[in-house]
Amino acid sequence: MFNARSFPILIAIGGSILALLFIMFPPAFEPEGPFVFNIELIGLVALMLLYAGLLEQLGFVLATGLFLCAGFLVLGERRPVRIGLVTVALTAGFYFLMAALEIHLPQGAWTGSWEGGVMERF
Amino acid sequence: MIDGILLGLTTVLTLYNLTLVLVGCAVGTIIGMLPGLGPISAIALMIPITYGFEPSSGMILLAGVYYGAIFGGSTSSILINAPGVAGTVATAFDGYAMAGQLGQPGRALATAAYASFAGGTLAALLLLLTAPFLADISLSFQSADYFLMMVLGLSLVSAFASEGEHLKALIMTFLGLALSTVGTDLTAGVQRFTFGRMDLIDGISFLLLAMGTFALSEALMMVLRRNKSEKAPTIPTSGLRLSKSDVNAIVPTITRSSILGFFVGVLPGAGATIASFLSYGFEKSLARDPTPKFGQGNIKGLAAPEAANNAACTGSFVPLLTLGIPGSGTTAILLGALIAYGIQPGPRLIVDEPQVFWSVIVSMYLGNLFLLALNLPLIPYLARLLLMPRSILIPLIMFFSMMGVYLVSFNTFDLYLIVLVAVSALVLRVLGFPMAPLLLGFILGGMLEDNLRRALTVSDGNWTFLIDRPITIVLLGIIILTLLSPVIRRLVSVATSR
Amino acid sequence: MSAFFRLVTTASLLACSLLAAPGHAETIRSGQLLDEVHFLIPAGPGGGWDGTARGIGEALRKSGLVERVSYENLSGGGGGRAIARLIETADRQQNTLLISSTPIVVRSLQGIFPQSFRDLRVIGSVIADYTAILVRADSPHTDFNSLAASYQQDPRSVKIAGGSVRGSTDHFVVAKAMQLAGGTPRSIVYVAYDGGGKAMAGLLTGECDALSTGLSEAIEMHRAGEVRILAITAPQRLTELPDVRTLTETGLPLTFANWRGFFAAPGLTEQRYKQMINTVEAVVETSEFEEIRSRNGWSRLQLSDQAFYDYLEQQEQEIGELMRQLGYLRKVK
Repeated sequence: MFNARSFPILIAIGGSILALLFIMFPPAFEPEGPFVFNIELIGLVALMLLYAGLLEQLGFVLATGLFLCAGFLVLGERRPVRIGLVTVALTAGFYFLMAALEIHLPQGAWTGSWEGGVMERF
Repeated sequence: MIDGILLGLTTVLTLYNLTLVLVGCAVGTIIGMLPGLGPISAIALMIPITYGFEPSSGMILLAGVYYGAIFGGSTSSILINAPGVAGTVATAFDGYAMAGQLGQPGRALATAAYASFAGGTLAALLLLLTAPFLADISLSFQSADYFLMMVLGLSLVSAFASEGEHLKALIMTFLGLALSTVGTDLTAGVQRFTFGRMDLIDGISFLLLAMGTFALSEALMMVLRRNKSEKAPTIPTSGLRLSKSDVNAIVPTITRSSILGFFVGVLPGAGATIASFLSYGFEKSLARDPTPKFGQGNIKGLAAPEAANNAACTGSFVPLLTLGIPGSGTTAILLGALIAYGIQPGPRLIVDEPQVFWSVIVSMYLGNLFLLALNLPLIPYLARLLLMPRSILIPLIMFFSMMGVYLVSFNTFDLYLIVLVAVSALVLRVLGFPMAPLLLGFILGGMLEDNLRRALTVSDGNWTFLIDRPITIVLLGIIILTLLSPVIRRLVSVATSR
Repeated sequence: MSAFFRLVTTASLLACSLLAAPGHAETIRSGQLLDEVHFLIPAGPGGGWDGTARGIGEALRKSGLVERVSYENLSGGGGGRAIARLIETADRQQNTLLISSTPIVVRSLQGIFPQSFRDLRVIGSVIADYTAILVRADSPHTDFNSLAASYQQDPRSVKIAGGSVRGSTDHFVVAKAMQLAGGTPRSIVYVAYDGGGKAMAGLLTGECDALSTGLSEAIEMHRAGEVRILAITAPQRLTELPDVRTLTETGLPLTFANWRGFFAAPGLTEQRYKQMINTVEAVVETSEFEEIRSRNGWSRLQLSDQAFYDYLEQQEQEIGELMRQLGYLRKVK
């Protein structure tokens, strides 16, 4: 009988065979490199996790603003005008676009409201 | 029929409607470029605005939005490797390489625009010629046949791997198949691999996997490669005109892909994603010693999925308009829109109200035409996106990937998941595992299993469904030929060399 | 990049101002309605819940009943995440209406989410879609009893297609009907498709012998003569379909409605609660709502407050009993 278990079991068997083949006959492989493992990478991954955690707490505008600024800084961007301009334009632009489309973005727990704000009709 | 088309044209071509198509194209393109918001959401969001419109005006606005969103999706696929919808994943394979590695974003965007326009046009022509028979074709495929189509799709997996990487490609395919089983199983209604988490009941979204393995892991890859090319990229501002050799190369590809895409699109259970993958694999297996290779910026590899994607979208109008059957998420939402305008698609539509039928077709076609005219001049500006310094571009890609995923589910669990996917994909890519087979396995896996289980339910558990009907036998034959083709090719070359 | 966004915003604003029809305000007893409505939609943009909420929101605006309307999508957990969010943040959800439908009853019975409608304030239902059981036009069956008779002879000879997962209402309704007709509900061969459209295709290709689906998805094909609706689960015949019999008429006491309705956060003040009920009751009377309703082929099902609560309890009991008989519910709730 072919039931809800069958397909996952077949995949597991097939996958195990392939993995075994891979271990026994590892294909010749030259990495594309040279890759430089760097602190920026760790910084960016940490930043994304932080963004995921804080998006609904801080609200879209604040979380996104901080995320973008920090991202630019981690990657070595130091011109304050450029950082500020891109951050503000992108955050505000995205926010108002979503407002125009009537898609709700998190306002932030601190505003004391999950509703209202700019989401009201212009 | 000609009367119908002329009638459709006269209803549709007014100044008011032309303004609407302009607005629609602009809004659609911009929404489509945002990952996470594809044609489905773009249309869903515009429907309430258009309540109370004349049907033809409403349709033409939505046609602009629809084709705009498709074009916008290709644009983000090509420029930042971020396929916002499943149909544009195959576009990213060669499109992103052409824009990035070869430094020809203008050429890539122009090829995509021309190919999708040509695909839509050829498909509309096919629709005119074959409309009466198509409803029958779309109803001749059963679950058993769809199952074999998915198998055929999987057998093309070697087309998505470069030389000597077949084992790695197969492993990634199996990983994709495995991921496709997460969530609620359709046939039995039980939850699998959800670990009791509410967030996984609906499975892993395709968009999340695509954005994580393509866009986000590519952004992280840029950081890893950083020291390799420290200087800001300079892009030769290649014109919008394709060279004569380009045109010669893609005309046959577009023709084949459009026909293939159209007929796959006519089937309610297949759709644009399958069409684009099939045509990509088909073109790759047809090409002899292509330069550049497929996956490294080959123009055919970009033109084929774009033409097939758009042709399939047009093809999916056949079951929608003649039977009222939506074969995909996009046509389901369009059905909702048509109903909202008081048009009830079904077998009676073309007989009782030909002018409505044809004005829908004409509006959709005009949307396609206007989009080309509107967006070609925009391409040089879009291409300049890649001139941005990496310290700005990388955080932007990260933001768009994460927000794209968030806009689908509004669930922060998905944000953690995409970071996990992207980091895993990064490790796998560094070790030389290709990502395209993963997505292929994921897309096909779900449909493969559902159709197989349905076929088995209907045949009371007998595997004889594989040889019961002529279509199934033909499909089985094609699969066997495909799998044996390397052997046959060798036998033929041995025979001729003697 | 920023240039795009300015373009987008301008274009969208332009589109909105161009397209939005001016609302004509009616004179309503002020203070008896909500000043603003925030719809919480437990799915992403583009689904059935989303379409209904945005449609009703548009009717609220165009009729001038409520000017400030906003929408929030929150999918996941089959609707469970939105319910959980509404309960957790109840004090901040003073204007929020959660849209939901029959699956809330099914899924809380199945334990997909721990809450049920009892944990929310019940506002009212607005529309319903009845279930239809249909066959191809060339089928020998002309009424439900004849389909049930061949099912009793050999359950395997009647394959029944449905547009949703096994263990959902499409499946339950047809199983219950077969049981009432004297068959065993467990031996039904239910073939699950991904959506009503694909299930209809499954019926028309000859893969399945009958289809159990929402009436609104079948009505046009019936009128076109491609399929024949054997029975519907409405309490009386519908004016739109005077020739189609109800299951009750066939002698099987089964009525079932897939309602769509609204819920609010627990712990609202009585006054706020009254305003919500008034708002939902008022929008159903507008011509704007009537237009959306008739175009989509939905039936009216207007129950408010206690009447809706009793209706939900009854539906929960009926579905729960059937689920136990079908083996979908091990623990007694």
